Order: sequence, then C-alpha cells, then structure tokens
Amino acid sequence: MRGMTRRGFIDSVAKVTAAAAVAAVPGGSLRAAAAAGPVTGGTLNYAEAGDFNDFNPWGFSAVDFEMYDQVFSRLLWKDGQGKEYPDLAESWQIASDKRSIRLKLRDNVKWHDGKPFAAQDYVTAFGYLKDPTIAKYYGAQKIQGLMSPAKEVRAPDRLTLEIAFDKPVPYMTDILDYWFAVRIDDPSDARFLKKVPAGTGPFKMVEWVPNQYARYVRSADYWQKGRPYLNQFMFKRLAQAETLVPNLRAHAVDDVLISSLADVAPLRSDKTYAVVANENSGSVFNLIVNVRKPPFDTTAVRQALSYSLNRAGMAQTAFFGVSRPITSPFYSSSSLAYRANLVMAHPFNLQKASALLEQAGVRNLEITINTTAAWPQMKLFSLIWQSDLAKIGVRLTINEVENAQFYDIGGAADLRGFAIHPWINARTTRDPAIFFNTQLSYRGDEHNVYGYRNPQLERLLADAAIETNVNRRKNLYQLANEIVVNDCFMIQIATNPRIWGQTARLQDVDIDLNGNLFLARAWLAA
Amino acid sequence: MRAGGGRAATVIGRLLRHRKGSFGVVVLAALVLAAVFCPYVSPYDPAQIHLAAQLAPPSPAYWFGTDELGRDILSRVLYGARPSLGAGLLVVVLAAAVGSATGLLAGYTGGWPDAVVMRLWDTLLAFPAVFLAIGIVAVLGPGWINGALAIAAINIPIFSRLVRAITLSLRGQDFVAAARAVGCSDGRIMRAHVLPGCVAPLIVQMAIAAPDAILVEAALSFLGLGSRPPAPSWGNMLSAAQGYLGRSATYALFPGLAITLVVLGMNFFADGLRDALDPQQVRSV
Amino acid sequence: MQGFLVRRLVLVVPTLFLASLVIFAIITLAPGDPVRMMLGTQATPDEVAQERARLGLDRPVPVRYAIWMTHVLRLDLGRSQVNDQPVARLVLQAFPYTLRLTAGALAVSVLIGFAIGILAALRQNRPADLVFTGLASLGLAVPSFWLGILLILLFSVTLGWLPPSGVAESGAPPLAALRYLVLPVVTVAVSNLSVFSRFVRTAMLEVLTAHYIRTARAKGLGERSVVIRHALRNALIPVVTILGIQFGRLLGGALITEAVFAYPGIGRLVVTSILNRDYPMVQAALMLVVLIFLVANTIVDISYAYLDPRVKMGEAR
Repeated sequence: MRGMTRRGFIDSVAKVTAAAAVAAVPGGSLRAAAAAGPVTGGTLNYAEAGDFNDFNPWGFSAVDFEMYDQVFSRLLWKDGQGKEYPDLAESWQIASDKRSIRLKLRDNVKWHDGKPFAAQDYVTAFGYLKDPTIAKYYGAQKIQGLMSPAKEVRAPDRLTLEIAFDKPVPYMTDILDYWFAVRIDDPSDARFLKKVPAGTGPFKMVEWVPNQYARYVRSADYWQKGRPYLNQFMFKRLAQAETLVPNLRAHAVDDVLISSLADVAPLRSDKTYAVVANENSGSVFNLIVNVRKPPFDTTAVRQALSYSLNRAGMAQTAFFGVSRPITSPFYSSSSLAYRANLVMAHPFNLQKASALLEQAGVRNLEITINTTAAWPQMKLFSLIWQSDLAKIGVRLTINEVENAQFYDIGGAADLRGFAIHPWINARTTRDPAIFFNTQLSYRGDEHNVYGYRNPQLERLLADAAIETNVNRRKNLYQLANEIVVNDCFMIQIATNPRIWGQTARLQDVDIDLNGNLFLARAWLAA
Repeated sequence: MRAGGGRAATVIGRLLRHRKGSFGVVVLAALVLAAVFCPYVSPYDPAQIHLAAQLAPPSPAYWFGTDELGRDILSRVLYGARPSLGAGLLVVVLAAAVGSATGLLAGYTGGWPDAVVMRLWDTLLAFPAVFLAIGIVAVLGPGWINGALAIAAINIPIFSRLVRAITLSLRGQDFVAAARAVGCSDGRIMRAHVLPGCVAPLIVQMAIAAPDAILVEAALSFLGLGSRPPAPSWGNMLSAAQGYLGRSATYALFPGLAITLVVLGMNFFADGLRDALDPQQVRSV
Repeated sequence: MQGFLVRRLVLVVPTLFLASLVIFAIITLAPGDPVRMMLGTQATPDEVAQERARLGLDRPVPVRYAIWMTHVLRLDLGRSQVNDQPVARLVLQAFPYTLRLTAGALAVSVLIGFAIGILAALRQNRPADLVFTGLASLGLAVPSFWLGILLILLFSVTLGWLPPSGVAESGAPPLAALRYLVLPVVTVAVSNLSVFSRFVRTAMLEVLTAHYIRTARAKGLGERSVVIRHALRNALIPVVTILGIQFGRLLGGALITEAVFAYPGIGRLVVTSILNRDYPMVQAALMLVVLIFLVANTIVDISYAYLDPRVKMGEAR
C-alpha cells in the first residue's frame, strides 16, 4: 500500500523539483554560487494574500500554512516524496500488529522560550484534546479527528514516548507527520492570538502586526546545528492577491505564493524567477452544499448544480490553464481511492441540469455564492457559472466578502444560511484515512457539521481504516469515492496546485508532504 | 414664467458659446446617449462571456479588447454609463430636493428648527465625505442605488446650507415683507418669493455636485460597495483590471478614461453654467 | 489669542458627541450579527446568547450607547472581534501610516501647487499658464484609484522600480520605507495639487491687480519682492481656507488610495472592519477619523484668524 502511494508522490515531486531546478539555474554565476554551498544569513521576505487566522499549527488553516514548519516541529516529518525524516524523534519502532509505536526522542531540544522539551510534553498535548476549553477550538477538533485511533500516549521516561492505538493503524506515521509539538500555556488562548507561540522549530516567532506581517528569527537552540541558514523569515500579508507578483518584480519580496493565477505564465518566461508548482498538492476547489437547506436536501438538485458547472472552461479561464477540472477529490492516480472514471464524472450539460431540477420540481432557483479577494479564481468561476445558470433560469448572486468573513461563513455549521459556499479542501493525495479524518465535511456522520448523513459511507470508511489488505482497502475507498462524487454534497471544481514564484537566488527550499514550505536548510545566494 | 423661458434660452446660448461649457455639453450629451442607447450601439451583450478571447488586446472584433472572461470592454464601458449617470442624477435631484426643503425651512423659520437642522448638518460634515458614504452603504447594503443614496446624504448638508444662506438674505428684503403685509401665507412666500431666488445657485451647485457624485460612485464600486457583478460599472471594472496588470495593459485604460472624460466634461459644464448664469463674474479660470 | 484657541477647541466636543451618535447608529443599523461572526464555527444558540450577554448586546440600544461611551471615556476601546487584538493597538498602529501618507501628500501638493499656481498667475494666458490650468483640470477629473493603478502598471509591473503595495516592516531602513510611500503619496497628491494650484493662481491674480501691489511697484520694489512679500501673503488667506476644505478630500483620497495600494492605514482599517462587521474597530477608527478631521479644521480656522487680522479673535485679545 505504501509503495503505491509513494511511487505516485515520487512521480509528482520529481516533476516539481525538475521544474524548480531548471528555473533556479538561470545563469553561470548563480550555478557557481549554488555549488559553493549554503550561505548563512539574510532575510527571506515572503508574501501571501489574506491575513493570519491564528498561529496554532493544529488548525491547519490554509492562510497560515507556511509558518507551521518554521516555528513548530513534529516527531517525524515526510518530504514531498513521502520519505520519512526524524525530527523531534531520533528513531522509532512500530509494533508488528500496527497497534503501537515507541519513539526515542532527541535530547537537548528546547522550546523557543528556553524551557526544555521532554516526552511528557506530548502526553500533555494529548491531554489537551480532552480539555473542555481547548476542545472548543476547531484546531483541537481537527487534531482530535486525526488522533482518534490513538488510545493512550505514555512517557515511560524523559526521552521515550509510546503511543497505543485501539485498532490496527496502517498509516501510523502519516498521523504523526501532522502532530506538531504545541504547548498551550493559556487554554483560553488556544489559537495563540494573544501571545506569540513558542515552538521547537528552526525559527522563532517574535512579532505579529495584524494585516501586515509576522516576523520570525533564527532560533539559536534549533536541534540541527548550524541551521537554519537564514537569519530571518518575514511573512508579509498583502490584501490583494493580484499585487503579489508585482511586489516580487519590484523586489519588495523574494518569494510569493501565487494565488492570482493570471500571473503564472508571464513569470514562467522570466529567467530571474523560479516558478515552483506543486501539482500534486492534494488541494481542491469545491463547493460546500448546505444539505439542510431545501431544495438542496435533494440529491437531484445537487447533481444539477454539478452538471451546470463548465469545469473545463473554468479551468482554462478562471484558473488560467493551471488547474485540472475534476469531480472527484481523489484526482491523483497515487491515491488509494482513485478511480479514473470518477475524476470527471459529470461533464458540463445544461440540459441534464435543467432536467434534474425539473425532476425535483424546482423552479426559479436563487442562489448566493460568496467570494473573496484572496481567491480571485472563485469570483471568475462564479461569473462563468452565473452566466450558464442564467440560461436554465437559475439566478446566482455573487457576494464579495472580506477574507475573514469568508472563512467564517465556510466554518459555520449552517453556512450562515447560505445554500452553497466555495471552499478549498486538502490532503486528497494523502492516505484516504487521513483525508476523511481531517476533511470532516466529506464525512457522513455527526462529524460533518454541514449535516450530510450517510451510514453506508461511514461503514465503508470504518472498514477501510483498519483493513490491512491493500487491495481490499483500495476497493473500499473507491466505493467511498463513488458516493462522494455522485451525492454532490461537496462538489469538486478544479485542483488547486500550490504555486510559488520566487527569486532564482533562493536555494534548497523543502516542500513537505502537506505541500508546505520548510525552510530549515533554505538559503539565499548572493 | 415667460421671462424665465427667455432667460433659459440666453443662458443656454451663453453656455454653448463658452469654450469649456460647450465641451461639457458635448460630453454630457454623449454620456446620456450612451446610457440610453447602449443596448443598440454596444457590439456585444456586456455580460456575454467569450472564454476563447480572454484578456484580448484591442482588435477589430473587440475595439477596446476583452476582460478576464472575454467580455467586450467597449460594451461594458458603454453600459457602465448607466450607473454613473444614474448615480449623478439621483444624487443631485435628491440632495437638491431635501437640501432646499430643509434649508428653506431652517432659514425662513429660524429658531429651534434652524438650530436642529444646522447642528445635524454640522455633525454630518464632521465626517470626511467618503468615510460617511461607506458607513451609510454598510447600513443600506451594497448596490449602486444605495451608493447613490449615501452620496446624496453627504451632499444634502451642502445644498441645505446654501439655500438657508440665500433664504436668510432674502427674508429681510422689502418684497418679502410686502407679500406678508398683503396676507400671503408663509408657504406661499417661500414657494413664490424665496425659492425662485435660490434656483440659479442651486443649478450651479447641482452641476458641481454631479461629477463629484460620479467620482464617489466609481470609488464605492471600486471598493466593492457599488454595482453587483455581472452588471458593469467603471469602478468595478477597474477593480477587476487591477488583477491583470501583468497580462493586459489596456484593460485598466478604458474604464478609467471614461470616468476621467466624464468628470472633466461635467466640471467644465459646471464652470460654463456658472459663467453663463452670472456673466458679471470675472472669469478666473 | 489663547482664549480664542481654547474656545475653538472646546467647540469640537459637542460635534464629536453628535458624531459618536451617528457612528453608533451606523453600526447598530447595519445588518449582520457580530456575535455569530465572532464565535465562528459550531457555536450553539446558548453560546451565542451568552456571548451577546457578555458583550452587553442584549441590552436596550441607549444603554449600549451609554456603556460604549463610558468605555471610550476611560480610553477602553475593546478588542477586535476578528483577530482578538486590542482595538487601541490596531488603531494606533494604523494611524501613523495615514499620517505619513496625508502629510506627505499635503506637503507635495502645497509645494508644487503653490509653485505652479504662482507661475501660472505670473504668466497669465501665456502657454505655460494654459498648460498648467489644463493639467490642473485633468488632475481634478482623474479618479485617484485609476491613477494609482496606472502608476503601479508603469513603475511596478513594467519598470519594477517601486513596490506596488504594502509598507516596509518596522525597523526597515528609512530609504526602504520611503520606497513604499512614493506611489501612494503621488496618487493622493495629484487631485489636491490641482485644487491648490487653481486657488493659488486665482488668489494671486486678484492680489496682483490690487491697488497696494500697484503702490508697491510704484515705490520701485523689485518684482521678486513684490510677489513674495506682498502678493503671496495676501493670497495665502483664501488658500488657507481651501486647505481646510481640502483636508476632508485628502482623508477621503487616502482611504481609496490605501485600498489600491493595500496600505495599512486608518482608511483600510475602516473599510476592512466595516466589511467584517468588526464593531469595536469601526467605532474606534471612525471616531478617530472624525477627531482628526475636526482638529484639522480647527487648526485651519485658527491659522486663518492668525493670517487675517480682520477676523475677530474675540475679547481675549
């Protein structure tokens, strides 16, 4: 099972690194600099659109991704190829029944505030999941979902950690790859908004100016001696996605996460910049459907929505040819749940959409869709959709809201009364057990706050999670995939590759299996 | 009113001979024509998406090029005349109507109504206009009509103060006293004797306020508080164009040119109108 | 003079009070429940009710106003409902940025506006005058957000000389910080500059034909000294008045320019917090804007009185 997954990742990441390598070597002097090896010092000015939601890495909030690996560490981490690396744990042993793991922790690791790190910290962290104040925080709920198979976490001594599971867990290290070491000193501030957080990662967070930037400086206590090479990582927040690449070109920043996709092609043709595209990031653009709100409680109506989406046209125009049109979140052939005929199961067909609506007895349907400036693609595909829906008598109103409000609506169980809300979900290329344990909106039980219920889906997921036979496991997840695609409670639109535009001077940036930047060995060539 | 008709003809004649004024008249006429006849003169439906022609430069098929969804920019600029002209008209009519009613009342009656009304205007004028407009749109919700209402609200105090000042100066004059002596009601005096004296300055103030209203409306739609998509307005076209500066240099050009031209024309129109209504005034600019 | 000053400043208070009523009305009437927006995901109706009670939102509107005012008077502005930061901190953080932008724009527009206005007046109806007045008309008509976009297109996207948005981080060298300021300042300055130059030109023309100037010239004073010593000072009076009127435009222009350049000043704070229904932020930021505006107008009134002795300063003098 792991071999399958890994080969897919190697394929995809090989592409990424090849592209990066080609673009990163524009001229002789730079190649020489790269060959000379890492240079210590300097500030990496990095920019993204939007603003921070919080700083707790358990939240896995898309707007905060790129700070997680810099400030926090995990027991072990997986690189883009899925290869495991030790981090806070030096070594580990998995029991043959796949029901427990024993980890040997690194000595002399310190939190950024100077306190020593010990195995007991992970026991405490596991305890947070039961703390009523912390458990209300959505980030704690996310990690709780991931850690749900874990029964007990013990620290027999200062540097030994034992985790026991109540069932076989074939994807154990995938879980640990998510479990950042976090110390919540003030349970009422589980989001770390009132105080900058202390982690154990290569950079220490020292300053946050809301709406502007957060500043991270090199941690002298980082366990990898001599690293990080960079003195400082400045994470700037710009209100508009469209100003990111102009900022890069004006040398105001060195690296940007491009969310204004129109800029990708022009930047690719410029040799002083490298465009790093992680096509297999496992992130997808989709629509959350409020299945509690009639008529969207009817499957036919939801399917009508899916057939009315001109995904191919949207991918070309709204996503500027960068994304792939999809109906299934498991678009990557490396996923266990992948099935070729589900990737684009609902081709654009307005007649069919209209017929489905008629069949459900729905007339004069009016829908509102919220969009945010941080994701210009959403507005564009909404406009295309609006124009197509108008042809079958459905009125779509486009409501542009601020970023924070946008996330707020998407996070609310009732979607604040809206029928649909565009969203982005991730981890579709990871083990499906991880996907369904974290992307709870794809579930069919009480974990799904948006109200979709499907006992059949839940049975499949429960069986698949503990199935040790790879082929049987694959079959179960493919059946789950079919339900997701055809029930249209989460409607996929297109893939969301993570694309960075960066100065060609930037070297040795790691991208982990979650598609996030890890800058412990990054450096800037002169 | 015959004399008034004759005076209007004289004023129009002067306006048309005025160098800037005549330019203003032409621009205003073009704006009105575009707003009224855009469905007939636009080469395309402004909301029609041409996915194959995304961000195309100007060409014989699309004179002004296309936007991010391949929509024809020329057609969208022509249709964009509607919210602009609409806002300009709605603002000046509303502000003039409410402003003159309150100004007349405050100036003529004096006392506490005067104090209350003027205090209210002082308060509204304590806000920089754009800030207040945004606050009002937040209450009313986005949309060009609500935007226009908000801009009207920030203009009412100006009109009201103007009319009040004229009323105050007219109130003490002989013909008003005479009218009162022969038993005219207050309402009649205000309507028949005071209001006519306000007409010329009101018209000038309307001409000054209109281009300003158009600018503020465009700013509100630029901020996402004006016209809703897909309805085109010059402001929201520019806000979208900002996202594609790296791909299309012409996209941001035409909507901005349209705003500039219209505002320039209407400023000139206001200059011309002022000179035409008051030929004694030294022409300074 | 001091008494006059104090009285003018005291007048600000009742207006500020009335403005606070308007601001409170705006946020009370605006649709959208701040508590639901604040509690975010998975809040139960009980939690919403509790939070409403905690914030005092279940009380009658006049009581809420009274509570807000007492907090404001104790300088307690509350916390942002979006990012949980103290409002006072966020407002004070944004304020210097707006100050820099508006002060820079004011300086540029006064300096260049005066130069152009005087030059145009001295060259009345000659080509230079026509060019300047034409440009001024154009500068008045160009919407600042379009101008900003054109500047970004030229100086950032095409030439890559100046950053198109944001500001330098704290502690950045002054020159780096200045680079961020150039385009926004120019954008705000252009329309103001046009207004100034027009007024200076008009005022100069009036003064230059006045009899005391003719007298000064007759006395054989050099043209330079006539312009600087006599004409300029008298032309300053109407110009200072326009300065007061222009300040509102300056702030309004700053608001829109901040949106174009993602510049983290008060204007952006107001727009963002209104869109987010972040009530404590809206209240505080708008109050600050009104306060600045009123104080600026008062300063203009005072300098007007100082420049023109005909304006009575009252019995204190």
